[in-house]
Amino acid sequence: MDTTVQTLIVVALVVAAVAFLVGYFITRATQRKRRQQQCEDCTLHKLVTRSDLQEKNRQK
Amino acid sequence: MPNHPRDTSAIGSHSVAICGNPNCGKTTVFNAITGLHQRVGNYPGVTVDKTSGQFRIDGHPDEVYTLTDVPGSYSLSAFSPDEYIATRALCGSLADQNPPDVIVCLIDATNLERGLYLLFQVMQIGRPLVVGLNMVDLLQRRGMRIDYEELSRRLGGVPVVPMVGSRGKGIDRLKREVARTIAHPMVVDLDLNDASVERAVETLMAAGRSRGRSKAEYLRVLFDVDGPAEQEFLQREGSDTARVIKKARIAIVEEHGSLTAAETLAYTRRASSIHEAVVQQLERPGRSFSHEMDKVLLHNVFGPVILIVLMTLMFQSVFSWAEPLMNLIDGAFGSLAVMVEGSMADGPLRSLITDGVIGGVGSVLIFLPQIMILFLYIAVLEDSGYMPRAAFIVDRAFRWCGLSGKSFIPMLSSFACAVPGIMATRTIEDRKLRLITIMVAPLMTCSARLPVYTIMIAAFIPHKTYLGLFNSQGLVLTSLYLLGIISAVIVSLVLKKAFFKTERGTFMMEMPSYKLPTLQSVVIRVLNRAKSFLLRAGTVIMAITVVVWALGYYPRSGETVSSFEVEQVRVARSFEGRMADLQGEIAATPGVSVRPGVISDRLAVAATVDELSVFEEELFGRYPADSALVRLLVRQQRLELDRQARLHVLADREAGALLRESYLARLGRTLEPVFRPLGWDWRITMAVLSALPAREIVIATIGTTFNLGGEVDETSASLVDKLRTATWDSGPRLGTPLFSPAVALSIMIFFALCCQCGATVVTIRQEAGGWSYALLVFGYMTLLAYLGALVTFNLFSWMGF
Repeated sequence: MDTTVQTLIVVALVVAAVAFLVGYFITRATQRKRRQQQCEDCTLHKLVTRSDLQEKNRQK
Repeated sequence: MPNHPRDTSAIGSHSVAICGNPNCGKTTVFNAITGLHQRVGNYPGVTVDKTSGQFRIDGHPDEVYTLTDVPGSYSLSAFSPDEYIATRALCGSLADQNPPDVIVCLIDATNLERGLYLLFQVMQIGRPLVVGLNMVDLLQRRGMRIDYEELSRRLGGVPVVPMVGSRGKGIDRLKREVARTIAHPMVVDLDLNDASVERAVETLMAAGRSRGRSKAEYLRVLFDVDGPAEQEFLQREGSDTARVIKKARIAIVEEHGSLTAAETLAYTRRASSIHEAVVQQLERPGRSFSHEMDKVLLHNVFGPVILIVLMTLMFQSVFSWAEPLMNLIDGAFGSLAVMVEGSMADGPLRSLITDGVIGGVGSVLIFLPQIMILFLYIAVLEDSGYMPRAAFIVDRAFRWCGLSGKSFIPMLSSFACAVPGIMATRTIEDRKLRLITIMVAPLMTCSARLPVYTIMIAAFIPHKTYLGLFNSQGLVLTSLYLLGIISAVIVSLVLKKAFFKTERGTFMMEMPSYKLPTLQSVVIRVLNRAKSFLLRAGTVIMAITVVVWALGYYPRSGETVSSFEVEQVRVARSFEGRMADLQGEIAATPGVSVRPGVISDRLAVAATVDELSVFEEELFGRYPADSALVRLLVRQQRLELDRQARLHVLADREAGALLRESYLARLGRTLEPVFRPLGWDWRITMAVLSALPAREIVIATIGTTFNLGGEVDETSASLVDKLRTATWDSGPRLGTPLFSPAVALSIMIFFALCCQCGATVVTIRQEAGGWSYALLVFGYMTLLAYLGALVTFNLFSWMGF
């Protein structure tokens, strides 16, 4: 396999690796966002951030 | 006993939720039913989010059941976020979920009363129920027996299934009961025998407009202040009923002092009366095995000592047991690289495969045995029930610095990975305590740091044995783990004093019975960890390695390549004349007792000049009549070795020159001044910075960079050898060794204290509720890491290391 062919294959592999990384991080971010939206709907995060969970129980 | 009509739209697909007290074996039963491999631990708090899986039941081929495992909870009056998730999941109030068709309430048979308390609350949700009575084998061993039929009768006909979840006993019957209950759903009313509560329920029932609601459901509304049951009730019945609820509650408070007291008293009495009626003590219980063990393992003095010894032994064996396997993998990758080099022409693809993929990803994969051994230990310790004891021991130390034993499980999980550790903080009710735990959890030594520590220790910490048992390398690793804990303690103390002034809370944690870990559970845990490690190495690390290789290989200046080609030709020509002369002399000297080819073959094996001298002596002795021929052939071979060495040095110089001109080097050199005070050159700087998204990448980057740079003498193959022989390639220290124990320690300290994990930063943002906390953690840890590495490097350099 001469150098030109090797170079072409390498360029294709590097482009594929960069595309994979971009796709990977975008997918991860999207998944996280979707999951977070679901969680927010169950008010867990609001409860945790407002710290009213314990307050509610104290009142009870 | 009101019957609920079956929702015909749900035929073919049914939802089942499994709930129970923490550590009653829910996840084990969940796995046994669904065939999934959710994480199981013999301590409370393993499940902090709901998890779902599907299963089918024999005899119901067209039906699909979705089982949801909800976090363990002692009551539905949520105190901590995970209890809140449990309540919402059971009520069907989560965003993506309908109310379950059946709730399986799992009860630890050895803790029946406590399980019944939760069961009574679950009954109030108003969904059909099946009770799984788990760990009946332990109950029998304690000389007790439960009358299951009587228990079912006293619970109003709810099916009760005795089970041993860890051995799969009772699973099929539980599934059948689930199918039967879905086909014939019924909701049981709860009689609490409390006049004021009964009157309050009747008041509510009179106000309720919806039909088909059971008495138990009204009870739940009554006690669930601002909770999902009350919200759902107000939504259906109209907000004007809030006044009726308030009036009913006031009546109870007047009688009992508070709603909680009324609820607790009513349930406790009922649970106690059922317990007395159904549990028989057949034999007088002796001191249990767990009790005897705890006398030693929880002892004020022996407890902490045993914990430290166990941890030390664990890390010792991570090194000693893994070594043969690591050598095997290392050897395999070395042979693979040689094979590829032998079968491909020189060029970028060959370099990518050998220097990038094999040198980079291969360097990471070598650590697979260590990761597996570490998780084998963690799985055994967790499943045996030792972990809560460790939490109890650590509680004393943690209390002093503002944390509590409840922070121990998240911290412990962080030894594997900070992400589940931070999520496990959901079991902590106190928000300030939870925030402190989230902020220090990433300081625990996660498994991704292990490869960095191992390679640095193997290369630069001399192997010495103390007391015939402890070796210096294992002790350094233990110290690094302790450094994580100690720095977490100090940071917690500072956070507590400066920002989060917490009150001393009570730490209550169940001490489960000691159990022999099941082989299946341990193997699944270890294999899952190995799988995720391999997956990571084969995807993200591989892709980053390719990019790092490209940055280190290109732009490949034509001028540099041509100048070295000219130099190579010059070196080769300088040998040609002398070689031709020698070949002429050899042709004119025929062998007397042996053919020249035999001697040449023998000499060709010699890889060094020293080896050649040994062979020369041997051949003189063997063929004295051909000493002149032997001498000529030895001269020829010596010349060949000299030529190869000169060309090799030239190739190394070329690789080094090209790497120094690469994009990676240009970037590294720009940043080098910031990290030079830590003893790092641009290559270490780039390796550490490339590891910011994930720590394991550092090894792949080091492997690729030092392979590309030709930093290797002809006999060394492993990455450790390459690091030992690496030298500064520029600046005032040019040619001097790059790595010293002081540099290695500064890198390890930096990794021990730095938050190099994108996933952890994002999880902190999610769990703490904002980017400010995530950035604060990243900032303080990076600063701490830099200062720690700076002090370490200068201190050890001053001491002469």
